[in-house]
Amino acid sequence: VIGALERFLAFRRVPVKIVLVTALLSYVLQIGAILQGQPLYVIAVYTLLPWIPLLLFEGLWKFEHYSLFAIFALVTFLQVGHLGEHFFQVTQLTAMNGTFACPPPIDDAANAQRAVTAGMRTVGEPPTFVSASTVVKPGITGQAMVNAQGDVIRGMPACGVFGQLDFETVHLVWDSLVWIGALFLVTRFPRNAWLWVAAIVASTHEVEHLFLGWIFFMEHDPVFTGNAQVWATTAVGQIVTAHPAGLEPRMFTFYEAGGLQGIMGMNGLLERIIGTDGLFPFRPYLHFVYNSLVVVPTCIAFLIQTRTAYDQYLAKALPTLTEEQLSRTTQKLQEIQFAAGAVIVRQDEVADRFYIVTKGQAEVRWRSPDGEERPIARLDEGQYFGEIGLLREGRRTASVYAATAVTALTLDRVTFEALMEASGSTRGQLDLVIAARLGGLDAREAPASAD
Amino acid sequence: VELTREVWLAHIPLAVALAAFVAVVDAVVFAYVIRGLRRRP
Repeated sequence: VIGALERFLAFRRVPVKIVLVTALLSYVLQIGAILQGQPLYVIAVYTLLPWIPLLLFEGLWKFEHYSLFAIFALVTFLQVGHLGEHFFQVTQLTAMNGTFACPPPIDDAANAQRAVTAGMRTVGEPPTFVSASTVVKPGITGQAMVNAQGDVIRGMPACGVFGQLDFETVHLVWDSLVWIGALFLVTRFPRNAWLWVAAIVASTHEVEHLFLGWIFFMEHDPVFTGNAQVWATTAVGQIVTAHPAGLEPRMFTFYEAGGLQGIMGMNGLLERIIGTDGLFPFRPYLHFVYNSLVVVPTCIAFLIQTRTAYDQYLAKALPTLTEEQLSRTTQKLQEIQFAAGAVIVRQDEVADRFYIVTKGQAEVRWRSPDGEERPIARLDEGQYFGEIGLLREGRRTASVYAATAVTALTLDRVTFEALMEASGSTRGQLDLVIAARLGGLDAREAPASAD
Repeated sequence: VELTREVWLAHIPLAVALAAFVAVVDAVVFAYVIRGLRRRP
């Protein structure tokens, strides 16, 4: 699994130099953002940004070669990132004095004015409209909580790194895509039992989010009485701090009044049905568990699937190979690029490799006994050559040139011969192709010999 | 208006309907997959 995973994850289209430059750029931007005193989400954006074009470019290669398995990898990758956000939120709550105020309060006019009233901000200082990256923990009265030393407790808004995205629409869209994605993957990889587990848990999670989405979007009458936490915000550069400024009586929608706990959350629907009080987990913990139960099986399923992942070009060229033969042979494939006009193999040279064209067009040229070289065939993406020299003649029976820039997957002689020994049907398929290709050459040679 | 237990309980039909919707979609997809597996054991 490790070897197959390494091979799959290795950069294939993007040269190592570009990867190093991207890593350096990402690092420089990260350090720059830190030195500028930017909030965590800006640092994260600067760090990730340079990688996006590179990953897209590389992802396209993976999709061309691995098809649906590449989609599986993308889903797994995004889901690990998603779980990372939930994990960070739980860490913020449990170990970083985090406050569950999501999305984080914004330094808008109302919050800035409260800070002015409280004497924390000068009158002429305009609001920045930046999200708070520090929150002073509120107590039950809505005012700042103090510790044993009488100090206020500062922490982060416990909304993950990208807390601005922590609202119901994002959760509903993302988790619906996860549910649909999990079902789709089950249809494509039906023998992977861990995917079924992931799909079933994703379904349960989806019920929860459909419920939350429904009450969020459909029940918008503010008919419930309650007190809302209000904030006063101060800003130093891009760092905004939200200070608790008391509770304000307000009318709430069902969602705001407690519905956001959903079906399984603390004092949510199920607790109300069975009559318990605060027995079930608070929403951030519950959704961390939900996501863990989806993402861990997804990762296991992906690792299991890695064992049988194979290159689509190999599968199309040699369709009679078994899945196991394909995945094992994929480990041995080498990608070689040729500039337009380059000689890929030369007639009469010792044959040492088998080639599958994956990009561009190659031209086969045959030199007749009279010494004249003529083009006899063109090979497009997905077609192969080199099998005659390996299986019959020992030497190349024709030359192959790169008519355009050509990328080819190649197999060395030893691997190719072992594969032919293991797969009689593939050997039979190639024998037919060889017979046809040699037949074509004989036909060209016959008039020359007659001459 | 207070957010009472009754308000919550009034949401049971919604939860049941949404669970049924997800279960039906799952059942259709799983049936399709299982049929495919039976055809290609």
